[in-house]
Amino acid sequence: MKYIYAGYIIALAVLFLYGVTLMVRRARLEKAARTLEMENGRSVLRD
Amino acid sequence: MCSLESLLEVMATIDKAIDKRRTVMAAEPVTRPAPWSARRNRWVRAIGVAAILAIALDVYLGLWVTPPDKVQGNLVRLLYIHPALATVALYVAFALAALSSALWLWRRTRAPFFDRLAAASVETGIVFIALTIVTGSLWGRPVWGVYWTWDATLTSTALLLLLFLGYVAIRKSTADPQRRARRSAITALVAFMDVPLIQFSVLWWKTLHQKSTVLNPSLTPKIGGIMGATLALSFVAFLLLFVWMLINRYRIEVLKESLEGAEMEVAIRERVAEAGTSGHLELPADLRVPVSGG
Amino acid sequence: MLRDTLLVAGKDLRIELRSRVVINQMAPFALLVLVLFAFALGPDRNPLITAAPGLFWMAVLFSTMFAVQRSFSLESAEGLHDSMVLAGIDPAGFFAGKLLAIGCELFALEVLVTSGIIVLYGAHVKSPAELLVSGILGTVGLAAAGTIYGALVSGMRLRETLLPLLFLPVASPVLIAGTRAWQIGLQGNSSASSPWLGLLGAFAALYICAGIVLYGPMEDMK
Repeated sequence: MKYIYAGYIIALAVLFLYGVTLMVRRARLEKAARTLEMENGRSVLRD
Repeated sequence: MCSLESLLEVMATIDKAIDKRRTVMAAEPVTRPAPWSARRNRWVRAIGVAAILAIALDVYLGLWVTPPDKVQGNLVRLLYIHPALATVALYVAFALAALSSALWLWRRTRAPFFDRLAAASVETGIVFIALTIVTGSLWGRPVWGVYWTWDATLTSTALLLLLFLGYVAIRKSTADPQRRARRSAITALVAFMDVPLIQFSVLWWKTLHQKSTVLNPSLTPKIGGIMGATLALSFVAFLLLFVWMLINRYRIEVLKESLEGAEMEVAIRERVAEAGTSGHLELPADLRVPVSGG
Repeated sequence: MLRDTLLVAGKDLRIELRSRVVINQMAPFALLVLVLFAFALGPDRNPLITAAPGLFWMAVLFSTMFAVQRSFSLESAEGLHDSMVLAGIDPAGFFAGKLLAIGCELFALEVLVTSGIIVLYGAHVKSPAELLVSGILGTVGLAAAGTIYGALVSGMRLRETLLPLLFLPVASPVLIAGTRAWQIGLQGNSSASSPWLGLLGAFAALYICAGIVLYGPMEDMK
């Protein structure tokens, strides 16, 4: 039975971590794009 | 002196090149990714929430509500995770990557969308395939006593993981976006073509070699009622999760590429600015010689 | 296309005859692999004979990678690609020509390795037909897949490490099927060999078609 728990826990943990990584990465990139736009005074992100 | 004149000529050429680059830069249309509308953000968030809820329900049903199997006992509970992961990884992620790559390669449908979709699909698929292998291995451990048994499906899946990793390696090794897209697309297609051959060869390797039947944990004869419903739910749940991850990964790819382009531009502009406010390279005063018309 | 195929293959083989890289370097390497396997598996002949089919195909896989890398390093000379394009060489013909040259080199190596196995490991061959057919089909398949990947990574900095990573997983059906066919060749129950030979044939056919179709788009990259 412990193998079952291990399997569930590992799967859920990895998926959760990957999901969080994606969200964090995306937030960082969106922010960087906005910063670049402000620094250069011209639109990086098209409205 | 000859050498000084030729030096000045060289500098004049560099001058012209910088001017040319400036006009080219001003004229170049740069594609920037539009920020997501509120509506799109809401949809993506909804998919994410739905995925989490579905998976939570699947886990609850799988671990506590569904009965243990007559043959496998509690081991059958991995049925509510492993096949869904495998199906998503192989039939959704890989197939999508191959289809995207094919569409990119075909001139008529070529668009950066397909290249980025393929990349996102493969990268997300790697996570699912790795988990498929881990859960499959854990499923087999109590039955066979070892973590790895060279079971036909497990081995095929391991090979597919290697193919996915090769795709990522190629992608990381090429900087130019056009070349990267082309190389990745070809890699994905050539790898995908091999999948049926790998499946057959490994299956025959295992079964035609050993006379004994291989206990395949992913096939249980009777799955009805609550077990069947949970199994179906698991497919939906992990598919939703994959879609959510795919969308986010795709967006990351779009942002990455445009930031790469923007950073390049900034770097070039800085280089150009360094050459002097007038854009001309300046010699120290004592070396300045009037350039003759020749 | 046939004319281009023979042109390119002829060029490669003629370069090989003059530079003798296969003869001087790859052949000793293949034999070296046999000797190293003997060291690894022990002086007792039995494990060696049991493993011989697999060892043969492993040696062939490694040799394929060297042959592919060598073949594409010939193409990296300055301006060579442009002169090919100007000469109007059909990309599919170029692919087939490379394939043919690599295949011939590999086949020669395979004959050598087979003799090595028979002599060094003392294997007895009951049914040589399996060895021959699987050798030909497997070689063609490996050469086709190898040429595709070789072209893909040619010109990249990391090509030496990328080529094995990409090529070897894709080549595993050939390893599996070829080994089984060889086992049957050594043990002699010919009836069991058809699925394996079929698989080798399918692999070869598939990758030849893929190469012909994909080579055009690949050329556009350079």
